[in-house]
Amino acid sequence: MPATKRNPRHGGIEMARATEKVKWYPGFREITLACFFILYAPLIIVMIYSFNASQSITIWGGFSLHWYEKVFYGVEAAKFKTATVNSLIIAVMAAIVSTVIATAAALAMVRGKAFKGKSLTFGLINLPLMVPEIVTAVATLIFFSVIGFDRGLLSILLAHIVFCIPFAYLPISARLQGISSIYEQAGRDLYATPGQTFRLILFPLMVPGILSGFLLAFIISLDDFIITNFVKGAGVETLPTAIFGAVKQGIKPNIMAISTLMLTVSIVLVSISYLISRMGRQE
Amino acid sequence: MTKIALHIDHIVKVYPHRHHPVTALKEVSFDIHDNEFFTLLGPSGCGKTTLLRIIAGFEEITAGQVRLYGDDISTLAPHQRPVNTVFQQYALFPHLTVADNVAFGLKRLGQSADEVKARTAAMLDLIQMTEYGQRKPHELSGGQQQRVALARALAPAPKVLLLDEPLSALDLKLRQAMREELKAIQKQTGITFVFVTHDQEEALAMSDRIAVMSNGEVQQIGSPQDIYNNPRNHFVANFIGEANILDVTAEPMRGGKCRVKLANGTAIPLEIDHAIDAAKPLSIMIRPEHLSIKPVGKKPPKSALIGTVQDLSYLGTDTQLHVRVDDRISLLARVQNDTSVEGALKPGQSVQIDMNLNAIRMLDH
Repeated sequence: MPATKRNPRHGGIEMARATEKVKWYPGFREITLACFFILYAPLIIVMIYSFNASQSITIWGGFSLHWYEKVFYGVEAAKFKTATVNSLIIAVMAAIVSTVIATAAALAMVRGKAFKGKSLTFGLINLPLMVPEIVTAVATLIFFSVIGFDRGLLSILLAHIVFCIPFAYLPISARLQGISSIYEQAGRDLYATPGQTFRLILFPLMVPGILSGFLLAFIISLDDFIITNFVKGAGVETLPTAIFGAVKQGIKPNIMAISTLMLTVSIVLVSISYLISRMGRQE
Repeated sequence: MTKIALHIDHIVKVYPHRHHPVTALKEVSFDIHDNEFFTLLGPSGCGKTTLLRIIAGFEEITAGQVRLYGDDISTLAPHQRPVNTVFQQYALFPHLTVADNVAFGLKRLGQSADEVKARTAAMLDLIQMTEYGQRKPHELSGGQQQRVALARALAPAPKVLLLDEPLSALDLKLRQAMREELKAIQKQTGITFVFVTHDQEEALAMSDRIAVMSNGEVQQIGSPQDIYNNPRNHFVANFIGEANILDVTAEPMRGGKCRVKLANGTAIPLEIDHAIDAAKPLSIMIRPEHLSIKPVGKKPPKSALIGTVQDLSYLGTDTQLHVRVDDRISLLARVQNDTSVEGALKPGQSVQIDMNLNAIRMLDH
């Protein structure tokens, strides 16, 4: 591979050839299709059956928006509404705080001078991605109990801020690494103080990365179940824990409608995040 | 007396790598005059870019001093120095329009909105890009980006403008056009330019004076003519243009003259005014265009240098040829293509080589 590294253009040609070959490996097409089927068929079924007119979750009884109506105006509507508001408040605040922390961390890691324990710090920032979530959940619960912290919205928020940091960090540091320090030098050369250089040059250039970090953190917080379930107090619900509670009493089609709504929100936000980062690259 | 714009005073730069510190500049000292187009010329790694970055304030100096019109600026931060830089990759701010790029330095200097507007318009006019003010840098061609980078750096009227290989990313035609434009803008604005390049042709074409650098040291400073015609040492002779360098032994003669002998014993009478230490190894330099080549006549003079044509390459206006005299001496010569000689030369042919004695230079080792 050293030849590829030295000449990226040449490497690109080799890679194109390699993908062409993979297509002809026996069984690859079938395995790929099977993976896509297992991943997306359940989602598609849930989306289709959320429009089912019948009570059954398996028998199609015609098209209807009945279950969506149930979500907003049914018996459980109030419960889900509170849970949704809780989820949104926590997701917005956790995303804001973790994005600020992640931005500061990325600046120190990418633009800061080499310091002792830099690679250790990098590991520590990203470790939450590797630690099994259940371990973090149990540890966080024990931590809150030991220090006598009341469990409720605030405990959920704190836990979410912490585990959202690495998710916000990744796109922000990737973006920052892609910004040549020559722009900051040009700024300094044109009489900008270090503060002005950050505010007028580096920060605007980082914005696409910061926005996609924020959106990723928002999505991750919005759909977290395990940690939330451990650190939430009794009676406090977020949307995922509320859905889980409802499903325990039997799956009703209104759950499918809620899931479809959440899926739509996620897809929209992820698409926005992707478009923003692509816009940044084009500049 | 000419005013001194930049005084580079015994500058040393050492990069303190843990195991083997790298010395990028070894006590470099020289002056750059006011309103001068001054070029730092040398191969990559010679220290020219380091020196430019030291003047701009991006690198700290290990020892020495930089004085700008008499003031010591060695310890000032880049934004406190009244010098601006045109970067090799232009470094136009991608999120700002062309006009905002040009206005950036003016705003930081605290000029009023009207002043900024007028100066920006004047700069865009100078580079003939008035109608491009509202474009973003990525909508411009490489040559246009280059001109905007120049306008942005010139806008705050710096005391010295630093240019870090600004033409190297352009294609040949554009590069040649930009050379003339840069030179014209320097004359028009009267700002001192310090230009860094590894391209000797560029340096010769634009500069008032050139400092040839290698290995962290200045090898020679002088006008383009001076550097080309009177190179001080092997490095300068080889780096600027093409040169035949021949080892010789010298015998002083009366009246300041001395006679040098080539390795094959051919004697060349040279007029040298400085005393020569005949014990030291010496060499002489002659440019290819100062050799005249003709097919050997019926009776070549005894003292003539005779060689064999090895190969010919056609270069348009002239033809370049390698002539082998013997195992130790091989010469590069150039003949103009409009002469009758050119058609008569063939590989393997015996030729007589005459040196223009006035063009021979003694080199320090």
